[in-house]
Order: sequence, then structure tokens, then C-alpha cells
Amino acid sequence: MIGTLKRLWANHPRLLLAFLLASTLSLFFAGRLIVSAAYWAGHRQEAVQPWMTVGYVGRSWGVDPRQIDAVAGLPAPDGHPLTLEDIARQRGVPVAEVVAQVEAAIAALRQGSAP
Amino acid sequence: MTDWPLALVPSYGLGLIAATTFLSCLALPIPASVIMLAAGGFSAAGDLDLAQVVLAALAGAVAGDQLGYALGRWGGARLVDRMAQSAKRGAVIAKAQAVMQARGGVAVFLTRWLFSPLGPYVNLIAGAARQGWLGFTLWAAAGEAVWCGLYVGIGRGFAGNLSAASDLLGSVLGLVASLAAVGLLGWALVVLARQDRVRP
Repeated sequence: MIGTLKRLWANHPRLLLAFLLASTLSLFFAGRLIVSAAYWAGHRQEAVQPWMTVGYVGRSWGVDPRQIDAVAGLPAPDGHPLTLEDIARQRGVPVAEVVAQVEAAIAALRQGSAP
Repeated sequence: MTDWPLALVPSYGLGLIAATTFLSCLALPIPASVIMLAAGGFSAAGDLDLAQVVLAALAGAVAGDQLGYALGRWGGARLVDRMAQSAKRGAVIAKAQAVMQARGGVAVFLTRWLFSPLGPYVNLIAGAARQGWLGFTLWAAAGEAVWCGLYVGIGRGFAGNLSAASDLLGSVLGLVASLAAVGLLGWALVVLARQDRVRP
């Protein structure tokens, strides 16, 4: 075994190095996969962002989007979906305000549905 | 991760998705994978239609591949012909073209999704090496179907958690690619070690 490795190292050093590099990369990606899988298992919900639609937020937080509309006082979608940014622009308010309303609505709805 | 292109996904929808995959096939720095993941998420939220999203992404990607191939064929092939006029280089180029024609299909397929950063360059090379158009188109379309289906599907499955989807998918594809390299290189080393033993 050692003899074979020595011979390979003498005859094909670059191939052997490439093999070691690929093995190291495999270990790295396997490790990263395990770490991120463990992390995301505990962090299902995604923070509310301006690019999201109410539907997307509802999906992420397990809340009915139309209830979020009702509680946060947002317009129901008509025709094509609106992002929170679109809604803020239509109302002429900063997008942070709409984000805060949606966050408050989620908190209220989740508290209401909790046993 | 920049957020502005994501806000455009529900507003501009299918046209934006097709444009994104089209441009990314021409090696432009467009975050096509993130856009497709987000589009999958929006489809789960009911903002976009899943089948339409996949078809739009696929149409853009296939069209982008065709343009890359055509550029290689009309621009690159002429350049290759001129280089092939020297006898020594001509033999090497003829060999490269033969390999591309015989086995280029798998390379085209895998560089759509597993080694996707190489895809745009493989398009040019395939055109310049005069890989058959039908074979190129079929392998490329099959690869793009995997690419679009994978990203939109994962985006839908992880709906509402874009960072998790992109994080996990990056690790999985990296792992598959590096394991494939380990397998190929390991096999080559075993074969070479055996040869060395036969004639030391």
C-alpha cells in the first residue's frame, strides 16, 4: 500500500494531488451540508423583507396571507401580486413601516392560534 | 445577497425569469439560480404558476445556449479553421473536434447544471468545434431541464426560506461534483498503479 502510494507519487504527482484536493473538497462540502442542515432545521422562518409578497411571507411563517392582509390593513391582491415595496410605494410610506405592520400581524396571528 | 432583483420577480414575472436564464447562458453575471429559487418560492405562495415558471426559465436557457453555440460556430469556427492550417496544430484540432463530436454531449449536459459556470464557454467551444447541432441542442435542453427543474423545484420545496434553499443546494451540488472528481481520479490512479506494477 505504502509502496504503491510512493510509486504513484513518483510517477503521477499531479494526479495524486488533484485526488487529494478533490477529497478535501468533498469533506468540506459534506461538513457544510451537515452544519447548514442542522442550522436551517431550527430556523424555518425567513425574516420579512421588502421584496417578499404577503403570500410569500404567509408561506414562510405558516400564516394565511389573507389574514395578514386583514390584520395589517393591507390591500388584497388584485391581478398581479404586490411586494411589500410596491405596497409602500403605492401608499407613499417608507417600506420599513409596511414590514413592521406585517411583522406585528404575524405576531398577533401566531399568538392567536397558539394553544 | 442583493435583494433588488428578487423584488422584480413577482412584478415582472415570467419575462424576467426567461431574460435571466438567457443572459446567464452568455456568461453575464446574473444571479439566475437565486432568481429561479425565488420564483419557485413565489409559485408555492400562489403568486406565480409553477409550470409557467419552469417553461419560462427553460425557454430562456435554451435560447441562450443556441446563441452561444451560433457565436462559436460563426466566429470561432473560422478562427479554428485558420489555426488548423498549420499541419502540426491541425492534427491536434482535428482530434479535439473528434472528441467533442463523440463525447461532447455528456460535457454539454453536465455543464448545464452540475458545473454550470463552465456552460457558456462549452457553448462557444461546441460551436467552434462543429459539434453536431441536433446533438448539442438535445443534450443542452436536457441539461437545462435538470437545471431549471432542480432550482425552481427546490425553491418551491423550501418556499419561504430562500437562504436555506440556496445554502443547501450549493453544498449538495458542490458535494456531488467533488465526489465525481474523487471517483474519476481515484479510478485513474488505480489503473495507473496497476500499470506501474506490470512494467516497473
